[in-house]
Amino acid sequence: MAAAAAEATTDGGGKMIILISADGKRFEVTEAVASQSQLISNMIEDDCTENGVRLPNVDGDILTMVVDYCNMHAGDAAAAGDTMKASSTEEELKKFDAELVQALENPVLFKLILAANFLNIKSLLDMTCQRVADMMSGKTPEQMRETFSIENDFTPEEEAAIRQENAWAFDD
Amino acid sequence: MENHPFPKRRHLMAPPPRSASAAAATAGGGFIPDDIPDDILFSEILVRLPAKCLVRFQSVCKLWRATIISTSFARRHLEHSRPRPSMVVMPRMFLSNPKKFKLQGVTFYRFQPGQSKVAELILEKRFPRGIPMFSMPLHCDGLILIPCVSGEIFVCNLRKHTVRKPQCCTGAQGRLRVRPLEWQALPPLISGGESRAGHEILTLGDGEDCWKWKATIDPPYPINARTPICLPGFFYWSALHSTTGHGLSKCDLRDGSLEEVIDMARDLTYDHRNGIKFRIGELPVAHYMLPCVESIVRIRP
Repeated sequence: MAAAAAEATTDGGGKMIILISADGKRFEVTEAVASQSQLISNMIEDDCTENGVRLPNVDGDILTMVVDYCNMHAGDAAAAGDTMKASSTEEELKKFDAELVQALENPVLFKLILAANFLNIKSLLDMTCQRVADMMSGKTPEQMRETFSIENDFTPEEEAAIRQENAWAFDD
Repeated sequence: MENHPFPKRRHLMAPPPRSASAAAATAGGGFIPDDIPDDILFSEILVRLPAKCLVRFQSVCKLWRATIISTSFARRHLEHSRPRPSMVVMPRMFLSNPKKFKLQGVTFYRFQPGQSKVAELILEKRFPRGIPMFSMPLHCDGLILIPCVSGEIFVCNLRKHTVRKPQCCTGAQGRLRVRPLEWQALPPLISGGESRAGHEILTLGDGEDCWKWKATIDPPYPINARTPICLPGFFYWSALHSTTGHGLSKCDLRDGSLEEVIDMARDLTYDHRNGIKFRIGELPVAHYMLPCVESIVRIRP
């Protein structure tokens, strides 16, 4: 990761920013890459990224994914104004995104959502949340309780009444 | 986060209690929750689910139910649905004497333009005492408004699979003004007839091109003189006669280009689910086609 970031300095120019994960891993990225996070973008504006940005609630494995994602998508903004520099085509990005979330187990996917939410990276949050929504669609209420550790606080009568009221939604 | 409309409380099956929200996570202790906090779950994930799925998930727990049936959730869900409209078709028989006879009911079929040419039956509603002849249904926020020639108006809630006469509606011949709960404003309905009028687009705002009428490409065939349906980036016109029959056209608001979404006589097949399929041209009926969004918006009884 550090090597990739160092290369970015040479062709991208601009200042480098150091992100520090909860378990102390350091990631060096360009301002352009980091500012896809609205949180960090605000910090850059306020000039408080000098000593590195500590992210106490994002651990190293998750931050690796986030940085990969941001590196990949950093081309987006640049490409819009400068077609010569378009680093990745739309198709490549789609493939990359799909592969990023496809293989993830729920706990990791949930952590990635939390990180995207905390760092305020809208496109990553959209993509990861859509992935969870796709997984939920077609499932039963029982499966939802299991996935999200939810206690059923309806009485059997109440639950039966609600199911009765919405019976059509259960028929497939 | 503090102003979030959705509750944050979570029902836990077992200790330790996790004050799961991001507030706890940002406290600086390096605390990383391994579950999704309710605020993200509701405002970012559940809002992306299809309406049918959400209706089913009302029985997960009390908090889920309260959230899903809340108005703020319905609005947010609607914002997510808007960019993905599907087409709802309502075939209607011709009545030789609409003042004397009534229709037996209404049926609704749905298809995804560009992806499918088969319209699947989604709702069939029969009225034991009949329903007056209707014309030119309109759509708003997942609700379909069916104005009848008698002046009566029926509202169909596709999500709840109901069609009924709401008390808050009044109708007058040819023109409608309706204001149920979520229905902010409805353009007046233009009475029927054929029109060769072209399209013009007026953009609001403060840019250079704003407040100017811009003519689009003229449709190559007459269009139905009815209120077009506007969705983000596009509006839809029903063509009276395209090259081969009745059709629906989509106009791109950015460049004014016109695209025929569907040629009804040639393209569409109704699928009645019980194995019965028929081509659209085989039926001596009128076919009303509406771009609709999926929503969990409700109207009060």
